[in-house]
Amino acid sequence: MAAPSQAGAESGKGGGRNGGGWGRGLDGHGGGRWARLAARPSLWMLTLLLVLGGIRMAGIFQHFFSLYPVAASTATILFLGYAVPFVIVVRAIDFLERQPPVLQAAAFGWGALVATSAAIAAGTALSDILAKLASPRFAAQWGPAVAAAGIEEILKMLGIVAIALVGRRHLNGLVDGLVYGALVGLGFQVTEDIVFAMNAVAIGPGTDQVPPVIATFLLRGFLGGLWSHTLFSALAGAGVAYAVVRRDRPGLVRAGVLIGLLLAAWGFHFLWNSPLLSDGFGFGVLGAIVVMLIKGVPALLFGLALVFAAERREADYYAALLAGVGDPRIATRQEIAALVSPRSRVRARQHARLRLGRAGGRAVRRLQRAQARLAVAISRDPGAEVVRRRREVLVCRHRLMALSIAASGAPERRYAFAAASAAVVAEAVVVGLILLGLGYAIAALGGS
Amino acid sequence: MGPAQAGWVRNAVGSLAVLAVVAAAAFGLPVLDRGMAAGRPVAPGVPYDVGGGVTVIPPAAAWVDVTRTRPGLQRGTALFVVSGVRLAIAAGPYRGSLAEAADRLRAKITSAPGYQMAGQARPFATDQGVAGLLGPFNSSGRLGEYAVVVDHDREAEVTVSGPEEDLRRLQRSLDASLASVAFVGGG
Repeated sequence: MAAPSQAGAESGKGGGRNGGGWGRGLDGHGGGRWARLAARPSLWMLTLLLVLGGIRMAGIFQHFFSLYPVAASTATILFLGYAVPFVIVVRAIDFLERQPPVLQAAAFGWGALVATSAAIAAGTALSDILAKLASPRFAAQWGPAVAAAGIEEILKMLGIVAIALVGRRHLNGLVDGLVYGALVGLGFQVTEDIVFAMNAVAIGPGTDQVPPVIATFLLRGFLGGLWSHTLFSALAGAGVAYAVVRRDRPGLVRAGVLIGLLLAAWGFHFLWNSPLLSDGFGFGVLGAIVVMLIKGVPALLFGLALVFAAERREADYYAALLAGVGDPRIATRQEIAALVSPRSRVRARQHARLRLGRAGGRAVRRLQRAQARLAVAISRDPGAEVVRRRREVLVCRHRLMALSIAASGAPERRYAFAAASAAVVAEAVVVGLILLGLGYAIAALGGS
Repeated sequence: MGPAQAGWVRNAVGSLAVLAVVAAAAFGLPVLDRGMAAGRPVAPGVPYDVGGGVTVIPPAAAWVDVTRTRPGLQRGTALFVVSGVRLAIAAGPYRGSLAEAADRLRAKITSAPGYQMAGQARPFATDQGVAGLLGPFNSSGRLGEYAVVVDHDREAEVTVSGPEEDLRRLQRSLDASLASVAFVGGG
């Protein structure tokens, strides 16, 4: 596909090789690529803000590490580790059209360095202004909802806009917006959580102690982590992507969707930060947990619905491209059907693992990745890239066939029961750990 | 203007817009904040709700700095200013002894560059009858006094600092404020 076709636009996959007038970031091949990038103002803007944000946050972290080295190290390790499952989920969502690592890193960096450093200054100022215009009590109760939520969501959304300016070609579907938004939010979440943990140390013992860090980790990680910045920014990211990609829709509709999703992000953030129902209906810890679920679960459900819908559109689009090849050596109908959702992809790998062992599972994963790359190449470039990706698929196909031939006659491995049992045990352990964490957090915070 | 130039211009305009919004948030809002007066008068002789279940009667003729005052349900802070003297109070949940609370406050004070302790802590009691510890500190050009009061599972930390002359002149009023620290529902 040479250019964003009408079908592509309607399926939520705009862009393509002639990806639009805002500037085609990280596109093109050969030596002229970086020269073209360097001539793009957005790259300089992004670099400048990342450097300034980095300097500001480095100063803040240096302060933490000089005062509380053990607590600061613990917080950094815990919250960076905490980001890993989020990255795994984002990569699963981003399976079909993997975003360039440099743009993913830039999105994370925007959240971790630019948005946080600006939000610290702006949020404090806005809270103070609220105290001056209304009262200190109003600022204490509603400041986090009114000031923090509003300013943070706007600053994070600008990160996705910056990514769109630098790498327009790579923002060509709602899933891309969700992915970049989630990464911006994740960067923000990690840095903010570390800052909160260090504030808990400063307000609490005032000395280099770890328990306030653990309490913050459990509270903000386990109790509030699912419906936090990663989710909110993913919503805003989908809005930006819609506005940028769906050129087939009137400008008003695109602006409406962008504003609507930004308002949704802000609204969920506002609700989460607001003092509404903070008394837990008068039922203590149990009431507080119920209120937390009431405030958080709608955001999670909304986000999941958006992710599934966007993924489905993207998968259908790429599945149609692969089906259009009409070559079962490239992708059979069953493989295309398996490729369209994370669950069916995993199931196909598990099935291969049962038949052919670990090597079989790996071979299917590689084939799936190669098929996804080919589909993306077809959508962008009908030339050399497609030929290269097609060859890649065939190589993966041959490896899989070789494994199948080698394993023919061997009895099928029966790991199903063991695998299912292991999954149940793992889930039970995770739930147990979460409950344990919950108990620890509640105990550490004195039942508050 | 060709398509490439138009694209460059759009990219530049978009980048400047992003830069402008970030700058407005990071620098514009603080400038706007600083342009608005932070001091508000407080009713004389009336207990001021610090938050965290603690009240205090501010010194006579004091102003409250609303940017440093956040009365929350669990925790609260307040900053009163009178002449060149600042009386800051922070209240919140606490589990530990009075001595540990005093150690913690001393550590916080001395962690600020140029601040050091200037003598031993001595016991005192609030008007409510709650026991506390009180001691002196100083920094270049300023003297200060800290006080800690612990009541069951709550504490209040108070620091008073200012030029020696102002502190001496306001001594009685400041002592009265320190003694007026009260735990709502306690005592």
